[in-house]
Amino acid sequence: MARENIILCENLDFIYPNGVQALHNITLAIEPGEYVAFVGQNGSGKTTLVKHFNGLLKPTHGTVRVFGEDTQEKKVSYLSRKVGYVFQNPDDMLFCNSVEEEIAYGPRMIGLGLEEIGAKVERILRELELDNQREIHPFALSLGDRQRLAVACVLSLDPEMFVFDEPTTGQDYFGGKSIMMLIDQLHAKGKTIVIITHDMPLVAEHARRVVVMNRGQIALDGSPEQVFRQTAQLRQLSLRAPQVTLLAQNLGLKDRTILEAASMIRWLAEDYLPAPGVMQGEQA
Amino acid sequence: MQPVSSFSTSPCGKEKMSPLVEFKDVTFSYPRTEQSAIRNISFEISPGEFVALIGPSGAGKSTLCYSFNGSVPQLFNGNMAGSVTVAGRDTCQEEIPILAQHVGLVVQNARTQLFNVSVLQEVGFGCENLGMPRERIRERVQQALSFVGLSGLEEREPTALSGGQQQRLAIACVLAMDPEVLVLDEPTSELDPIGSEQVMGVIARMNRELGKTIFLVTHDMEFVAKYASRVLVLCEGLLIEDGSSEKVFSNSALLERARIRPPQVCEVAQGLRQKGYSLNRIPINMDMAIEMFMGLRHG
Repeated sequence: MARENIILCENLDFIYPNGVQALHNITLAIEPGEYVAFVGQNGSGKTTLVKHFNGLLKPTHGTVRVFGEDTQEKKVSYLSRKVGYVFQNPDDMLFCNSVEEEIAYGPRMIGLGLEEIGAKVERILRELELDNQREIHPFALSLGDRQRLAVACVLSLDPEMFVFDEPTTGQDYFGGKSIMMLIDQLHAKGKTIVIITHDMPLVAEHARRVVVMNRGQIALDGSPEQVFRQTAQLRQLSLRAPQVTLLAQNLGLKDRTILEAASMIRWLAEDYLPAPGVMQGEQA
Repeated sequence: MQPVSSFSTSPCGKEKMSPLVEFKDVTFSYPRTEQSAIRNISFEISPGEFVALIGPSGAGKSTLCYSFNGSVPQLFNGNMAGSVTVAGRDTCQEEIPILAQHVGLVVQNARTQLFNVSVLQEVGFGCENLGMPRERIRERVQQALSFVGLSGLEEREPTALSGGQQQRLAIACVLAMDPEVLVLDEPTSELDPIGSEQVMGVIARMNRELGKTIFLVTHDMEFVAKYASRVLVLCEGLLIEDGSSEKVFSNSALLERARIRPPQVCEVAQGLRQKGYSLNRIPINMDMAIEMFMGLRHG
């Protein structure tokens, strides 16, 4: 193995107390610096699986290792310093009276000194452009800013890996784009990223690896190119590749997979269509 | 599929009809706010139209939705100027229960709209409150549930349904009252792909098969391109465009101003224009794009 795995699930089964088996025999490894998107219908087990990455859930059978340590023996408070979890709804994790207090909460809980906490909060407020809102009550912020604050709180514990559960749901294009830029920046700094989303263009444009879940199992696992090429399987799972990916396939492109508009435009202009001048002549 | 006979279907012919909905210079501001949520809004909707409302968060889309059935300004206090008329009734004056028979509103998070102990009671609730006879309620409830594909779940608890089922249940609740207009505020924003597809399918069929007039707020631009016959663009409380989806998705400056990302095929066509290709129009869906690019390739 080239690098040590950050996450290693082996033969993971998870059965909820009500008897519903949400995960069946999952074996999966995530290496440092990966950018993995988990996709699939609601109830397919995505959230149940990623909640094992910081010990929020413990396997019923099988093992989950986080940085080599078996999560069965570790507390969430310990694991959350290594793997930060940003909930789908930021309101589920915000409860302090000001932005500043909210960010300081985690570092206080792990017993950092006052000076260190102060410096950390300052740095994060600046990094996430929340410094003008430090004294505001979290619930007075816009949804986009509450989302940023939730990320800020997780950042304050300096984890190596981040899990984002549907980070763009309920946001407009602009809000979604700004949160994705933030996630891309974390990845560029070497952090390992896991996101759950239903937005396939987002997956195609940002993730480096896609894991498709279905009925508690892994149905597909590969690069976005590999996964979005499987048109028939995706249709069976009621998932659809991005519009440009399908358009390229419909126009007969077989030997590679187009993932975003920019490369589609390049392919059309360079390979598929005659040069613009030629065409204009023909049209006139 | 059950027959849907007892729902009235409004005609959707081509001839010019008197508007079903009319907004005249409407401005509304919530208490203790400096800026109006919506400003000088004027438009008309004819029976049978499928209108999509798009725009960034905070543009005033939900406020506009609440203005259809009198919730704004009767329930949400604030200052309103101008007038909204639905089926000939002034929404500032008419009682909300009367308006509810003409406009069905499905709010953004449908879960907040569900509170009964069973699906059956939930769907019957509106009709009961309108004082309909028992048999008629039974019939309406059965047909509404059948239409949204929830037959057989009558005894289930609404909160135990999946997100997509809850959203379709909320639609059934207003459909049972047989309104002419359905206003739906981001009905799929929290759903998975299957759930979204099913909800959007129900909305399209209400328009096509029942002739219902649809006013839909959504961020799903591929769906807008596929179904909406007309698109309104709202930005900072102002109505900045009212036209076909092709017209809206062809206007890059407008899209940028309203922070809207069009379907990817539109982005591709715009990109080709920038590379010097002269396209006489912008494709808005997959079929148009395939036809256009194949045509260009083969001359």
